Amino acid sequence: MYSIKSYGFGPQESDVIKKQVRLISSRTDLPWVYEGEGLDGNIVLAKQHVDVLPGAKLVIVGTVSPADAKACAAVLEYPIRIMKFLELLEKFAPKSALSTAQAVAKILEDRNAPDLVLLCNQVLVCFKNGNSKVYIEKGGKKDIIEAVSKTSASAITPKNKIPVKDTFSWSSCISSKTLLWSLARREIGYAKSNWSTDKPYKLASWPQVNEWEPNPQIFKLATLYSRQSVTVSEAAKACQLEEDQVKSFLHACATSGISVKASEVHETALKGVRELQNKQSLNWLRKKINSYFGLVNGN
Amino acid sequence: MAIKVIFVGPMGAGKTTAIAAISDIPPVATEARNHDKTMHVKATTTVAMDYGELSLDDGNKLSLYGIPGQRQFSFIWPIVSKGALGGILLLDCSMSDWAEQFKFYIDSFRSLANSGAMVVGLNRVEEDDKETVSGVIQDCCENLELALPYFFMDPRDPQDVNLLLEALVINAELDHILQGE
Amino acid sequence: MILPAATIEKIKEILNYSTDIRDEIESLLLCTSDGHEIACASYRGLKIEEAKVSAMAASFAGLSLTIADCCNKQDALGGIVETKDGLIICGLIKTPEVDLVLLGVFAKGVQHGLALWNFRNQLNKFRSLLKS
Repeated sequence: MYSIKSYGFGPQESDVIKKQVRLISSRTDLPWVYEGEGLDGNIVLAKQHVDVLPGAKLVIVGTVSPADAKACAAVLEYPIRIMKFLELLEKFAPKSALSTAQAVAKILEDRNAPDLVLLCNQVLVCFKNGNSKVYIEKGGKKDIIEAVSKTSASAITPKNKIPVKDTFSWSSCISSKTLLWSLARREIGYAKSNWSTDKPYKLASWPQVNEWEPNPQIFKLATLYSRQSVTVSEAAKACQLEEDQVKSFLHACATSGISVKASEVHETALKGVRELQNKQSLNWLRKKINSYFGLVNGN
Repeated sequence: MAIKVIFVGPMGAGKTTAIAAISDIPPVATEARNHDKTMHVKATTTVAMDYGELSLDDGNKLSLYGIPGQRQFSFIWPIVSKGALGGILLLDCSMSDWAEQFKFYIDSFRSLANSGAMVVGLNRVEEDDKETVSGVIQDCCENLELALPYFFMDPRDPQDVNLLLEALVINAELDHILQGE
Repeated sequence: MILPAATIEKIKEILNYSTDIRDEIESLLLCTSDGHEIACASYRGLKIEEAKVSAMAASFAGLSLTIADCCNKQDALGGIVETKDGLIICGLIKTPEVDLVLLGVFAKGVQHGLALWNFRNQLNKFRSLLKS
């Protein structure tokens, strides 16, 4: 858990901050919680008190002079706006920390490790390493993704193992790769801050996107990154996607065990042009084969 | 104008079946009696090529060529694959040497593989074995420094074969987009 | 082994004999219809790449059958390649047990009729042998 404390706010104002953090925490990769007034949080929101705690974790709330602003990590307007608050928390997220998807990937790495049952968002989830599947006590596949994604990375650890009877029955399961992919695709904020826009990347092997996320743009991204190294901005342009989506794709690939290699070489130029290339015919062909993606032209 | 796609892979991988699954015309096959039952138990084998086609609404067509899978017919592979938009490599993963076959055929059609114009269809993979087969393919690809698209499929199922074609179409479209930049 | 060793020996004898006594025959090669070489004989040390030519002969025979079929001609017997340096003829031998392809390479200047007559004689010899 990552704590937010306030300093110099009244009880009503503290209550508003508490509600805002609760609202925001479902959208952040790290599990932020508001712990009331104090100076020992990971972030301290101080109402114009620059003098008490100058430094990296101090966020001044309200208007301050430029000189005072230098003494703190950030300045938020008062009343605090949700989106600004969200940006601030993303900025404060320690870069080295694992995301939830990465924490799951870590516990699934060792295929010989014993099964692990954890409490995720009030339901029991079992990570079976032997057959690379993840089970849920009650609910379907989507509930597994939902439950795990709402669990903080720090809670996904063998230390939190819950003992269950051998005969415990699990209602549904999902392949570990599908789970990792789905979790990582939700971590857009994490991906945004951990992948460079201008560095060329290339996949070392094919991500099975047709099974994990059947979507024409994602399929195109996978094809592009599998054949050559390109930057996030180039890939976004070629596949008509937002850069954040491309970063999220790379994050999901890496989390799902696909090696993503950063490269110094730009390969946007074609290696060779084949003579029998006709875009019109390709479109007809796409129609003819009754596109896997329901005739959606990803171009 | 015809767009050409070739189906490659070892004997018994499902090339003739895959072409038959999607062809608009009755496929033309050059089948001969199979005398080498140590390679595969099937009764007949392709000795020159298979041919099928898809007619497109713009008057063009997609020609589907299957190579003969046995290695003694490798002389005909470059003849059949000349001018191909892409290649579909089919493998029967119930064969013990499928990974070796994968490397062999990638080497044999390296120019298609290098330009990303090759996709791999993995046939006869049990649900529980998919993870392991994926791992083997990924290792092979990393060693070959290629990241080829691969799909678990049944060559009898037109939808599965069409997915492989779709992957080639997307690759060709990317060529088009990047060429325009 | 596709054929018994004794049969293969007999085939080799026929091939060697034919290439020895018939000046117009440069090479004779017998292979299975799926391209595995069985035996080959060549006149006065002439050399062909037997394994490769066996595969090509099988492809050629297979294509001949398919072309004939596509042109509404049934029961193709084989195919002919005409070159400036002579004829190459390939024909099929079908038996209940095994399907074979015979390839004959004929010398420059040999008349088509003579080459074909010769080649059919060879085919018949092998048919009889395989029947017995």
